[in-house]
Amino acid sequence: MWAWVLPALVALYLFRPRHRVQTVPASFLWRQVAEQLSGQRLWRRLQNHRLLWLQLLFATLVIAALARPYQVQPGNVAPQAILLLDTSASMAAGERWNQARDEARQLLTQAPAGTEFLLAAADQELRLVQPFTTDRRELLRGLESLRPRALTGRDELLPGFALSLLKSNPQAQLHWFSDHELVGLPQVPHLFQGGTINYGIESFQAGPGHLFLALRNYHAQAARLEVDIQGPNAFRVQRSCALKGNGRAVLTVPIHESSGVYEAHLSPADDLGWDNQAWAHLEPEKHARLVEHGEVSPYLEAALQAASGAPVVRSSSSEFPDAIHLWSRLPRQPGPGLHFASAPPLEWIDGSPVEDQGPILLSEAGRKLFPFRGLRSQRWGPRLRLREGRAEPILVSPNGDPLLVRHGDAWVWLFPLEQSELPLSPELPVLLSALLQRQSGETPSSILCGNRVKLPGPLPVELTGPGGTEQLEQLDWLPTVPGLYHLRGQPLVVNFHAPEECDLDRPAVKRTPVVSPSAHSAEKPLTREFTRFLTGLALLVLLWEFRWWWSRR
Amino acid sequence: MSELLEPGLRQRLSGMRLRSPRRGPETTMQGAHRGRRRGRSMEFSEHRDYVPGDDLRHLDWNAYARHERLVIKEFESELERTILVVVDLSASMSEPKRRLVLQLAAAFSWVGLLGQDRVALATLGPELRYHPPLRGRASWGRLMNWLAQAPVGERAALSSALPALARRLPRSSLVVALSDWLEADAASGLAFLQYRKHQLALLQVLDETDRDPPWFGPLQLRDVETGESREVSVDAPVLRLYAELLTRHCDGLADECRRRGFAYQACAAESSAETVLLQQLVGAGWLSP
Repeated sequence: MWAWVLPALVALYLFRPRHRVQTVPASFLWRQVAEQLSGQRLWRRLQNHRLLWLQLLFATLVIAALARPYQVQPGNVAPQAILLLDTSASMAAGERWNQARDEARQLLTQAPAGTEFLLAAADQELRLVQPFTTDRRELLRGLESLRPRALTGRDELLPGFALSLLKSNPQAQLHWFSDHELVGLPQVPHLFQGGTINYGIESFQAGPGHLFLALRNYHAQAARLEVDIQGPNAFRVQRSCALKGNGRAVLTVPIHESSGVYEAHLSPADDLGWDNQAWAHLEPEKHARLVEHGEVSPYLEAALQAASGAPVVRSSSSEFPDAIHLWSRLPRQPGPGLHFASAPPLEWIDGSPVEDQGPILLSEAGRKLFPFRGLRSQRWGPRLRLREGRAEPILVSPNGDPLLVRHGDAWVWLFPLEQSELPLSPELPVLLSALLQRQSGETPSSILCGNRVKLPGPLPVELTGPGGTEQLEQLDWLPTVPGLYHLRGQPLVVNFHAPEECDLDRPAVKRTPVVSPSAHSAEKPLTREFTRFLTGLALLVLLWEFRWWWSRR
Repeated sequence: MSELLEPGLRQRLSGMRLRSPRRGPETTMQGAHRGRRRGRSMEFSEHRDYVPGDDLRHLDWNAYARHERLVIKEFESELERTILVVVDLSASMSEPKRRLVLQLAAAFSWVGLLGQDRVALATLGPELRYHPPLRGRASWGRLMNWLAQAPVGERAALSSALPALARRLPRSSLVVALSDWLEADAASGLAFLQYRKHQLALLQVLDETDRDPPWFGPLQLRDVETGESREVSVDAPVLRLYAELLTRHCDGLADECRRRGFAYQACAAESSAETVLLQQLVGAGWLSP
């Protein structure tokens, strides 16, 4: 729609006034003319710069049209209106939230007196901010208190909520403020989709001797980023990284084994903003050694050595309580310590191996366990099938078939590592170092937004974080803002985790017929847009300029 | 030389006289012009009633026989006159204006010489040039040769040129100034002429571009003589204002001439010299048969 602006501006440049030189026999008369003109009325003086004012008027109209101004038609708002605002993470992109809030505010201020509004916010949970009321002040206050949160949206919660409200209030009109439509619900959509540049830190892990940083570009446009990593003892590293469109990169940064919190920041910031920073907590090393039992996968050995930094010891004894044990096949009674095996005990296996291929994904338990969004590696070849109930799947195939399972402190692979991209990808040490971190203590030191966790007691729990200090009255906590927190003086890292929200370019939603229970919105549009009007005015100004220029050629 | 004035027009001008705007010149030399004072000449002027003391030799006995009334015959005195024709050939004089003023200058010179006046020429252009007065019909060719070689262009300031020229002339000379008179202080040079008791016949020649500029739109107007430039967006109201100011300037010039007893005429550069001389100037009394 805006493509015509450029040729129009070029045309304006061609129309710009060029003062032709004309010789005159008596400039004194023209001097008197100019002096009299300068003392004349403003309109006369403006005539001398007509083309300039026309150009300015044209540019102003174009800019106003690009701003897409609109006016809420107060008469078209139903007597009862439900304002439901999407506060999921994607609404933080660009100006989406500000525009949504401004439009909701305009609706609140311009609706006829006596209109009842209900204000609610939806992300991973539904929150009723203000029940039906005509108190505009309270509604506006509630509106101003809302912010997008670093959480995934759960649209499946909304139909039940909306339909129950509409059943009790058949004349109510649902206004949905989001970056996507709700399918199957009668609504007045207020959609905002600006700001789609999105890249971020997918995972940030600290292992003994190394930091692993995975970056991802979710947008088709390539990006050049600067990564700034700071840590304890004045540790600081800066790296440049180029990400192609929809590309990934993993950085490995050597560190001097200082335990503590490491921070990574990306610049420039993208439109989403939530995942341009991440934290990793390197806890003091507890595993003294890596004990190999028999022939183990060299890839697993190398990856665990990189992730743990522990020296390798070959032994047939499992009596090393704090060691990491590597097995080609997990014994029935593994013993104390942490165990990694290339194959499960035989009694766990169900039938013959299956030949298939596909991506390696995190299971539900895996997503809760690991402080990063997921893997992208592919696998192929044979896969062992597991009897049900033997172990908890951590990595799965797209069909949910377990690929890596957990049984107590034992982690068992159900496929050959060398028949996957994992060994050649830093994802394996990222996964293993996260796993080792996870295993280092009861209390998780690294959490993802949107994952409800149980904090260590007793109550009350005081948590200090980006938003200040809050007192929690229960141990269940749902982090909504990523950042570095402190719980009883101990660092607690919360990183952004909302994989669905990372896709800011939502697929086009097929419009279903919107049937509003309210007669008001059935035929009359809620807002009146002025873009076309301003565009038409701008074209008229352009024609006027052309006509004036043509007459004076 | 003869191209400046067609032979046919020259023939028709031969019987004309160039008349002074207000009074006769003051000189003791015998010339072809009627002085203000009644003097000795063979040419009858008018009758007046006899008063005791008049010279009885001038009684008109024929009139007494007819009307039985004593009347005295008055005769015109013949005094010599100097005519200076000033021709503006500066850059502001476009080709049509320059052609016309040169033709008019040739005509005035011819008429003056035939009327036994002394005719001097002056041109304004890159410099002020002056040719001393000559007498007699045979001098016309020499004057025209000099005029034909006059340089054109650059700047001319009438307001300073006229007083300088006036100093060279004997008192009560007739100055015929041919120009477009498009100068801010054009009238400032007239006072000195009046002081020197000169007579001035001011002919303003304007062409169509002066009267009704054909330009439109955003222009940088540059003075052809001074180089001064000014940006003006010309449209209909601006042109009306310009016409109003031009009329005011010309009227001011005419009023100044009237106030000082000088003659003023304006003509269009598109007119032919014949029309200007034989119709306009004869009708205005500048030329008489």
